[in-house]
Amino acid sequence: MRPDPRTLLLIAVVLLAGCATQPVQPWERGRLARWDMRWDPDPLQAAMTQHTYFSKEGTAGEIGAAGGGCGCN
Amino acid sequence: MRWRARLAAAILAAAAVGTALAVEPGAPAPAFRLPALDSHEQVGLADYRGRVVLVDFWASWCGPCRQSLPLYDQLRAGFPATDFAILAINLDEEAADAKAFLREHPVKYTTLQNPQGDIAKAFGLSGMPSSYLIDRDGIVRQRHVGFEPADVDALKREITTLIGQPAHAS
Amino acid sequence: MSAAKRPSPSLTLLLAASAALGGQKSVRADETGSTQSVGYRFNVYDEDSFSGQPVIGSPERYHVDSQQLALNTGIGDRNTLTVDATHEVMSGSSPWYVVPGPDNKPIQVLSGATIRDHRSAVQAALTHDAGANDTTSVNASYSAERDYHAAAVGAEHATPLDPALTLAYGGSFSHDLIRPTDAELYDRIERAQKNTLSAFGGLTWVLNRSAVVESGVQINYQNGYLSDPYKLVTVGDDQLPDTRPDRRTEGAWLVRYRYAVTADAALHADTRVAMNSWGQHSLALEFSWYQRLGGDWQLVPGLRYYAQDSARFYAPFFAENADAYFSSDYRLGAFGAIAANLNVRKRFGHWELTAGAERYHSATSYALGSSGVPDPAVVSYTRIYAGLDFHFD
Repeated sequence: MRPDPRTLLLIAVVLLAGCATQPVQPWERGRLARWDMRWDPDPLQAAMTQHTYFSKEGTAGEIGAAGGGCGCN
Repeated sequence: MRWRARLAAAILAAAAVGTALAVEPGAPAPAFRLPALDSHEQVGLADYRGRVVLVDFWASWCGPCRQSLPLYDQLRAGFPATDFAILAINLDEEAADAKAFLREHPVKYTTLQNPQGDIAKAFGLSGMPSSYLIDRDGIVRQRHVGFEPADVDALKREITTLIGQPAHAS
Repeated sequence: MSAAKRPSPSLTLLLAASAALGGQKSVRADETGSTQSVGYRFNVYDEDSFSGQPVIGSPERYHVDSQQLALNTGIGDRNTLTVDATHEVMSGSSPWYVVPGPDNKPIQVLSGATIRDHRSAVQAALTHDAGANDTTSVNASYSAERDYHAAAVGAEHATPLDPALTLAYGGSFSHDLIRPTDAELYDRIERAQKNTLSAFGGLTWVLNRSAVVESGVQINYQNGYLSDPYKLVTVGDDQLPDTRPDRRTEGAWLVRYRYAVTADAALHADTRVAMNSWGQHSLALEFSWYQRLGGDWQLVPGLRYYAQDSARFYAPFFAENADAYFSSDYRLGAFGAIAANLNVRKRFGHWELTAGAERYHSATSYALGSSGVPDPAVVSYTRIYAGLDFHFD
């Protein structure tokens, strides 16, 4: 199954809605500082999720590197 | 001679508001009149002419502000109210966020709101939080970006010095 | 502007995450929030049993119960220390090798249900904020299970290039030691080691007051024993040990996007494209929606799509004339997966309760490219978790 091109286009359009670039003044960084705008609002949860994907999938990005691997089977 | 100085000061002040260059020490503080956060009563910097004023720009999302607000509250109480005042300008988009923050870190000095950020722009703010120490004549004498608890002692000394300088008759 | 902040972005999350720990809290310079907190999580991971296909051995698969504990604290005004510990208990059978059945359809053979095994891991990370949003972080981790020990160190640095652009880069090294259980009984190698060296670089761009995007590249180089000592491969009439090359280079390109849609909602979109020297490619697309509801509730639904193709030397089973390398580990096959997850959170003053579930469904029909190669052991699973955090400030 491949992702439907129309679905990808819709996703891209929604994302690009946020993409107009404008310089941000130091006092305008309130939204960026929100908890839900972090790369990982819940690091413990993200770590467990990524560890699971790493154990069950074959490829890089999450691969062992220096995270202390595991013998996960 | 005095009227020329005042005219020059007024022109400089207008220019500062218009161009939003960082307000350097020695320049007059830009004029502003903003609603208070709680009462919505309009308060202006000019109302404080004759006193040493610390203008503090802060927001609920600014980490160091959790430390700066309580310390500034103590700082304010350490000097006579007739000599020294703190005027805080909150830059939160939503007043509710500012009020929630103040419930956790209450202060007795006046907080004004400027969600549009135009006064921050007038002062040429380069980082959050930012504070400006203004003398009895309305001239910016010190400006500080960021906050660490250690900053308070130097601030106390500078305020004492400025209080010792009488206002020039105007 | 210097409350001790953790390092900005980068892919250290990717590195450290494999240790199933809190890992590097990849944080942007303008993020705030308590730096003092304690958190606990309990996870239950349960794989679907084999069904609808013949297998030899127990059709039950893996089950893992995990607990995580994390402590975050500030040291002085400019430093943050994070310590995480994980403990997992694993049980269940796992794929062992594949035999051709009638019509050459693959039949998975599973190992007997293993004795409960457990894994413990700990990681510490120290971050220093030099001011002006320049942060440096170092981390070290150690994990141990009965047959596998790994130690790792890493470092990263993030610095703003201009008010809207931040550069982050770093590297890490890991040394792993494998001592398979029942080595003599099953004629496995007795001990082996593996080293991994990793480097990354990324740029974070503040697009406007509501959106940020990060683009980064990570390269890993692994060398040593990279095979699976518990797996066999049917080659002709024999079962031979899983034999993979003794090195692997991998590269990944990651793009992450965060968009504050409203005052109460944010959209997360992550994509990752990866490839490795064993001939595999993969694509991952992940979306989450963070919705704040009245009274300190957060609802976070998410969706993930993943697809990979197979390693050059993967096949369920081989004819006599196999090459130097061969493996039938399903993770080297061609498959894809769709996962849906939901997280619910509630804040009570200093406490925060979180709970959630994930359903991950994989199939060879979702594979990248044509899925001509069967992969009988692709796994689907269900995961549920709950946790509690206490924020000191």
